[in-house]
Amino acid sequence: MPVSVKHDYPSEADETLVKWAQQGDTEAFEQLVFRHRDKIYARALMMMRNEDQALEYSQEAWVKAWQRLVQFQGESSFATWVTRIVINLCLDQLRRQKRVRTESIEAMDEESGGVERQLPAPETNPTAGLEQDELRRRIDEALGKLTDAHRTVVVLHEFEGLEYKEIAKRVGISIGTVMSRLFYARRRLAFLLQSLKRERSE
Amino acid sequence: MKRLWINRLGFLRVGCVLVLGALTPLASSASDLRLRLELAWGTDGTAPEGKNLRELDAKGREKLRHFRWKNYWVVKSTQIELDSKGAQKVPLDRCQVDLKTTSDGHLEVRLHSVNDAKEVKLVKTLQHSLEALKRGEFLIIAGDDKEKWNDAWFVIIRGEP
Amino acid sequence: MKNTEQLLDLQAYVDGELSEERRRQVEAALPADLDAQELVAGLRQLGTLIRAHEPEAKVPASREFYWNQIRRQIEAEQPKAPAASVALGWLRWLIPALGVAAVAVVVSTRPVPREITLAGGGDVTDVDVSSTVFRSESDGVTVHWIQ
Repeated sequence: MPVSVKHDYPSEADETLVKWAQQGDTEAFEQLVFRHRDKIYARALMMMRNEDQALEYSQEAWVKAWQRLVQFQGESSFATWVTRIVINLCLDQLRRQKRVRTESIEAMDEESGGVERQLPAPETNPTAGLEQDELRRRIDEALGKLTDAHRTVVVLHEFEGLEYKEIAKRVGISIGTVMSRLFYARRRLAFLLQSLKRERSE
Repeated sequence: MKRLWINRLGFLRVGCVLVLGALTPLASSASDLRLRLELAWGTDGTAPEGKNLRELDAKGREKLRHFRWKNYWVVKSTQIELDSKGAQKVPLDRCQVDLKTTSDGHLEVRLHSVNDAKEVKLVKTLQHSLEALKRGEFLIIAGDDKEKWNDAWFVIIRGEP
Repeated sequence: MKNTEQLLDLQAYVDGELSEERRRQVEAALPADLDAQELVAGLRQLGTLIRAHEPEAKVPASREFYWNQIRRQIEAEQPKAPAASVALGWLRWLIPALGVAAVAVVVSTRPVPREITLAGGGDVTDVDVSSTVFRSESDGVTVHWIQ
């Protein structure tokens, strides 16, 4: 008499779930989705700055992951692999949109370098708990104030750990442009974080 | 020395910015447009020695007052005329601007970079309302000087009577 | 005041992107260059700060809803594959007729193709440089700031 084995999906490691999913086990895949969905969604949200689009592209990334699952050979973690898929989707969309923000004329002073062209050393006050959450929120706010082009290089470098060459290839720009965008973005972030910190203490 | 100085402007390799502006008492017919294109350098420094660069005029500085630079030096200035079906290629230092009026009342601006080997590469295409330009609006394309961190480049196109 | 190249060099040093030789040169010059030291410290501090506080977000949907959307898309994609092949097949026939040397076809993976683009091989007709547009009606000025 055949014995059916019921898998305990939540207790299984990613590697096992991936192996089962590659054999067609949709429940195993669903567990992977549940386990990593927030991370994938958060990355899409950081890139697109729009919840609806982040939701849409994160779901599309999961669909693509399922379609390409047989290609995943464990060269990176599964979550990293799916993150790269969602990043590529977002990059494609950002290129298609070619968004042009129409800003007030006053905003261009900062955009063009109205701020001091130096990098103020941002101060940190490493108190735990609420302060850390506040800092996380402020960093998110500052990231949101960057242009798509500048935020993309920051996300790929700082959070995905990609080298200049890899960023250049993915975004379709020169290494020189990666470097200048990254520097500009860091300078802007430092300025924004300093400004936000001043606001807090006032 | 001139070449070195031009190289320092950096943006000339990337492309030029054209600012199109049209003053109200414009060219001889309603459909004609006389434009002045100026390539300007925004800097807090003085003009380089040995270069006879003039300062941007008061009207141009007024239009750029929201930018932070103390000085705007005109690197090159050219005047052209465009009729209602007009198209022109305007060479500026290290860049070229192609202008064309469209049938729906716009001016199409195509910005090209020109490298040392005289290879022309399209960088940016944009359109602006002809009516707006004839009313005296300025259309400015600008960017950071890639070689001099604190400076910027501006191409200013304005209508002329 | 350092020029752009020097600033980017220091950034590359912080990011571990310099060749071994160049890294040694920058490191050797640092003790005598207070501006460079300050910049290096600032870049490192900023990087540490933002990496340690990566913004988080939660999917704004229940587990079941989120998964059902994904499952439906997976099921919807499968029967669409043959239709996409038909579209590509038609375009392959069209290529010689148009005399187009190179054709790029983008077919949306969505159930309803959103966009099909033919790009001729030959001259690049447009390079889109990212820009931000600022406008003041009262001043009568529009600025395209090239990134």
